Amino acid sequence: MVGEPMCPIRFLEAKVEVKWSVYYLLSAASTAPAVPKLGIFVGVEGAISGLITSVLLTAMTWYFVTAARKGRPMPAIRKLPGLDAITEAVGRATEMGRPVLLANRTAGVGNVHSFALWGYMGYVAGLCARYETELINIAGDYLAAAVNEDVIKQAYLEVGRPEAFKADTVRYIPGDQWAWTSAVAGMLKRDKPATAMWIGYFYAESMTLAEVGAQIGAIQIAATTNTAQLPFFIASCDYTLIGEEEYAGSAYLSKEPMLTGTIVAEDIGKFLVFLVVILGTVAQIMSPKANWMMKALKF
Amino acid sequence: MRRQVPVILTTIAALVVFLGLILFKLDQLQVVSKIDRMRQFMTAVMMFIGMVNLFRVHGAAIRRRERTWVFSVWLLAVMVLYAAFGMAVGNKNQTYRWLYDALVVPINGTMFALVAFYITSASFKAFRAKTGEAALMMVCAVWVMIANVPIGDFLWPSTGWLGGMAGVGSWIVNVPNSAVSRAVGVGIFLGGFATNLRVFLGIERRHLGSV
Repeated sequence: MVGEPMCPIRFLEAKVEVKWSVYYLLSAASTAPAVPKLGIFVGVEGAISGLITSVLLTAMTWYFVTAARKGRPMPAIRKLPGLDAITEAVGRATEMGRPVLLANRTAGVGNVHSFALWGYMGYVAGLCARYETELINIAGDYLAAAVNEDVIKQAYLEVGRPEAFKADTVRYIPGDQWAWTSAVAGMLKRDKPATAMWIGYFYAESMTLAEVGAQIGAIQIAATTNTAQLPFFIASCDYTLIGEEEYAGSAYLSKEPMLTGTIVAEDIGKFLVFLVVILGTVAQIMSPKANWMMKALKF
Repeated sequence: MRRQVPVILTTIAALVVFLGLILFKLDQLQVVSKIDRMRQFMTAVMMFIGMVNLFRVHGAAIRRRERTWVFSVWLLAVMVLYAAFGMAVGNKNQTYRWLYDALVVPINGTMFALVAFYITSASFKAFRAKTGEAALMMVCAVWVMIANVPIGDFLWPSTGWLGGMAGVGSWIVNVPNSAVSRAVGVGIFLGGFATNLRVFLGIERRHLGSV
């Protein structure tokens, strides 16, 4: 199980980081070691192959986004039961007169999980506003909490019910792992939401949250890329979005062709990786000592 | 304009950071670490604003004698006293550290320990063989669990064929399980990359208040 380091360790890490940056500043000023150079690039292994991969993926994404903008048909994304269940789960909360809870602890503003989360948040908030159901969002990051407020307000506005937004819709609880988990578990027990959604990167708290959610009988939808926590969510939640499905959620829910275009590019990227794996396997079987695929990619 | 400016700024910042990591000249100028220092400074300012906000919100709660006003007093008192004590004696002081270690660490440990009980109840739900796949997962899980305790070696010693119970258990973890984990990992990387691109290219604009 993956547990996040507790505070004293984090504190030590911060000290090490400070020392390192002081060292870096001093060394840069006086005895800076010569940084290896490869043409105009930093001579770090993987810099050029990383650049090529990034440019290739960006070009593919650009192509499909442009195609979508021109109105060319995009392939449909396969059905994801976890995402289709969101409407049903919000509907159930409406029928029961209980709130919908959407939480994430770790994602800050610059985090890719936050951008994925805001896609879900806009959609769920829109549904809640339409069905006149209370939404509770719990954020573990102060900046993300401010953006969450805006996203939810905007969704309410789009539905035509801006007055539905309440001051305590977004609740900020500082993201210290177990303090946050205790607070959220307490809210689950007190507010008894009919639907609980756990979207983003979770650590060991996933088990506590999902089990408390199951105890109060909430429909639970989880989405995480932390493979170590996936079994816990799968065991305790009704629907679990595995890995990349978390990222695909906003495109799937918005049904926006341009967003779908990026998913198509991502799938082609996956096919290319698959091709490299097959080629590498064949090459390794044919000539185990030559290691040519590894050498080809190591630049 | 309100939406275009943030999108343009995001794209420029993303490009600068990306190129700062791979281009020699930008690496020499320490562009990325300078941007990171700006972010750290902004975080420190936000911490201060957060403290001021806490005083405003909880101060108002105390003045109005709200239902939980006692906790507001407690929160502000602990925050101010602990910060003042830390600034007075320094963060290496033993008493200062003891206050934290003796309170927060055991509470954190207690919450973490509860996970063991939750795992038990979750396992009970997960190990119900309703379908073929669930049955297969249950057999694999039970096998790996038994392989990791002494009774596993007693039932099928590791000196035997295929490395015994432990050998087969290790194979389940290292071969099929690892292969699937890595496949999921590739998907996660590409999914994360695509999500970042959507933001950098201004296609994903939910955070700016639009679809």
